[in-house]
Amino acid sequence: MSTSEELREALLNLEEARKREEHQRQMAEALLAGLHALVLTTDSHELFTKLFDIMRAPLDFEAAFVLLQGENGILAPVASSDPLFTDTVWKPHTMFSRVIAGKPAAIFDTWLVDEWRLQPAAIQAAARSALHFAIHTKEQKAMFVCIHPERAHFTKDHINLARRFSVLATQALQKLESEAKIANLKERLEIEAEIAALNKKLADSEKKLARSRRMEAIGLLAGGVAHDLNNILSGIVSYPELLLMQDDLSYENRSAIQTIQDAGLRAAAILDDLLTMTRGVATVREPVNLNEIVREFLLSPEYQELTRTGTALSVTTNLDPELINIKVSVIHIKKVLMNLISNAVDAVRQKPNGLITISTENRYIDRPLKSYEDIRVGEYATIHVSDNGEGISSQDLERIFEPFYSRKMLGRSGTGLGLTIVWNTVQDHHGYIDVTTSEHGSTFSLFFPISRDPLIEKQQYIPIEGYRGSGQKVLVIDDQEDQRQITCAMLNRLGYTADAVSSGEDAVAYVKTNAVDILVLDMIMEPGISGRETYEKILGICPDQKAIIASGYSLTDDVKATQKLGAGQYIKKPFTMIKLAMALKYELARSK
Amino acid sequence: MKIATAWSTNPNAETAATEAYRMLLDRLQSTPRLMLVHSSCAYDNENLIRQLRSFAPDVPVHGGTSCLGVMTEEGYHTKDGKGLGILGLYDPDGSFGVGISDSDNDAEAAAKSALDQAFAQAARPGEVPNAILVSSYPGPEDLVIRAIEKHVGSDVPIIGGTSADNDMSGQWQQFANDTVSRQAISIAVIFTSGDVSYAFHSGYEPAGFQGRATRAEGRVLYEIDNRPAAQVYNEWTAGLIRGVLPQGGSLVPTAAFSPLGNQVGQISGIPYFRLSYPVEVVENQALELFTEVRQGTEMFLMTGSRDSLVRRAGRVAEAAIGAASFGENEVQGALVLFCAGCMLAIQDRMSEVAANLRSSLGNVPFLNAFTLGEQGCFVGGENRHGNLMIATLVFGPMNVEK
Repeated sequence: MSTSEELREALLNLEEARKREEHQRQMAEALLAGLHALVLTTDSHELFTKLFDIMRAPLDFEAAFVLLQGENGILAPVASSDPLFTDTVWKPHTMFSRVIAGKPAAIFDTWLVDEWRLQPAAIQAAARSALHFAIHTKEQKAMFVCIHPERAHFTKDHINLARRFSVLATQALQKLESEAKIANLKERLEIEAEIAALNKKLADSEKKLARSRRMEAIGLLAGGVAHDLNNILSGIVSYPELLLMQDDLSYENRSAIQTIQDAGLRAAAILDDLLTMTRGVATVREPVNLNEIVREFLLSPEYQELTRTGTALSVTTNLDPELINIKVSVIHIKKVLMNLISNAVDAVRQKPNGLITISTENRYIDRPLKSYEDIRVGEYATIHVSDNGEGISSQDLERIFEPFYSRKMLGRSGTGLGLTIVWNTVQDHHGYIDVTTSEHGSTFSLFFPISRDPLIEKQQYIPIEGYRGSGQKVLVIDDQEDQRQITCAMLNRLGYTADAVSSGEDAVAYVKTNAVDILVLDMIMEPGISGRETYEKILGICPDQKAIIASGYSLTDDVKATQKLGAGQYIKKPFTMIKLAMALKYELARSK
Repeated sequence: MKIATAWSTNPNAETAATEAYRMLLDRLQSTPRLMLVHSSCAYDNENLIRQLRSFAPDVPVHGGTSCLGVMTEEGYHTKDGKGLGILGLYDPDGSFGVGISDSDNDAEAAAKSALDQAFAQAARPGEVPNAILVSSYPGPEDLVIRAIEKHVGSDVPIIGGTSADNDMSGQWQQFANDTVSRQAISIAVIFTSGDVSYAFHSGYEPAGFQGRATRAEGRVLYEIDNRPAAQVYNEWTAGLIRGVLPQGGSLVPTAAFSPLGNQVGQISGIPYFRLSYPVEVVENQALELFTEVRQGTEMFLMTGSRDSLVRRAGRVAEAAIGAASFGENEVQGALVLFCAGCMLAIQDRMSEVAANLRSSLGNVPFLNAFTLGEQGCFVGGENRHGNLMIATLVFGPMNVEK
């Protein structure tokens, strides 16, 4: 016997079934109306227009069009409810191929789909959602496309209705075929001429897409190399620092060691840039104001060094006091700013009255903006860095963001990755770049999506003075022999008592019998257990064990997981003695 | 499309994975295109998933831990707190992708990241999937649903289960491809070649008491009608928690048949509810629930019974089939997320639950995980997270395109 609970459920199910029936009825009526139009319309040109009108309500589209596939595989409209789509041309990628093969698709965001990304900005803006389904005839491969300006508009119900509607649309197309309207030679020639013209537009779009992908691939490759090299560089950066502390070094030896150290630091700077431009590194994002970043940078030693050109150089700012915040990785945006200004300084270096202007402003893009990149509709905080140099040639402009593609004089520039970092960072933050240039100078404009999040108060740092230890016991856990030696030597210099082990397993055994004030923990120690696992096991023995993390990798999930367990600061190899000292001091002072 | 399930209760993680995968291959007769994996936290799940992936390195894996064990069409599988179940789906015309991201205090960002990875693996960026599966740790489920809807819209059904451990000590884990994590969001996007259908029911009914959440924050309900929530709850339930009320403490499983509910929607005047399991009396006689509760919400005392609970999974499966575009004889298989709290209350009758599900689903393969919260799509189309619920996803046959 049913309980009242079951009866409630049955009633709900019944009501749901009624709703479904009502929906089915509406769909059937719409399809019937479509069939009616098909039978009664003698003018084939009017036929699609009528079908668009009839199906507009049940399929809930803003506009619709029918694409025919030519022999070269390209599709072009044969009918459209909106003239905006009349001149479009479409090259099939995976989504279109699937649809043409008979699988309808609803698109919740056209900007993520290759076929749509190749369309002009105006088309993309008008169609944020789309519904695609095939129309099968004996001779023609065609596709019905419904669009809507809002994201995530079309649903599974629309797909189901579209599937049925495709039968009607097929009949309409066959009717057109039988009347030989679209087979008319003149019309064909016209269509082909239009396709040829539009193919050029398509090629331009593809070029932009290819550039974007090339940059992405290069970034990934470079990042991978950088990870491996960082560990190797540790010795070149750290050993000279220790050697230079010896008082009895001859002048010649001191000079030679200094040269080695400088070379190591330069290599480390290049690697740092490579890591910066690696996609996905910029994960820690916080609300900031671009004005503040500009002001801070103008007070920094890097800026002072950068603008020491020996010629009359003026840098002016025009910062919008109402500038809205953005949510970004601050370290990356600072590098972007530094690189843009460095680029501007180089552009005016030879000029007697070099002028660089840094300005910010809020921008609302209410329709897609054609520029170096096509900028989408949205609210942006923008920064512009202008110079009155001689401009950039069109040949250079095309490749200026590629790694190591430098117009600067050999040996004078930085790492050769400056504008690549700008490009990758802006892409990572879903922003856009525009570059305008003439013989009177260049302007680099960056568009970042705004954030309404409030600013976070700045972190307090301990003063650099008094960073020496006082005999505390430090255990270095690292599988690399040279790393253990370097770190222990630094620790002893800093007044700590250092010991080292070469694996996580040894570290766990060590802390069972020895009390340690703090660990310096490597993250990857193959083939043994990782730094995170090591710390987890040590916490089982000493629940309050303090640790800092030293790794050649960027801030990975594993590092974050270890910090979540209780480990303190993360310092990236190769590290200097000061970095190590400060991390230790901070962590030892921090209460757990 | 073909679906098969497999299971093991072997105490060794690698052996369990090997046994279950061999069983799956025997039944599916093909390498699956997607594996939904649920196992108890008592296993070394990193080894278990590694072993499974060694057999099928390119097959997307999605899932999480399930309280004590799992259930399939062959019954309830648990032995000494261990049980592993796999639902394998072979659908060469479909596309599947899985992603995972550690929450890192920003569950919304994690959900978006996992979703992006899933769409990328499925190679269908921007396309509306048939359904989205979620495995989360307890806490951010509502946020995760909101994050997914923000990205793909609110019309894609979201079905999921909050990964569970065996004793509420925080040992739950989420799986995605090679990754096993304690505090992550795992998401699968599924583009099957056929339709899917789904149902999400609480089963419980209003007991006749209701009041407004006059003070609430996150998952803590401080006051109902301006009085301490636990006091009010105790009165409504005729002293059900009088022993715990003075000093506070756990309400699991005491409150399993008397949860709180809030109305999600109504169809023709018949309201339907999302349930919130009161799990603990905390400071100041407040109630900690296993879902978020918003201040100002009208809270209802709900009631259910053991007998009704035993029958409920079968009824939810029938509701899912009833709502499907395909016939009851065309069902290929099902995934069921069943509240672990409910399971513990009727653990001695799980063979009846399995029999009811078998009967309702027409003896097709199904995998049932026991979870600490369920996410599903109500009859009115609302994706929600709730407690003491059952969420069911039913797979239909391949669509024949004209």
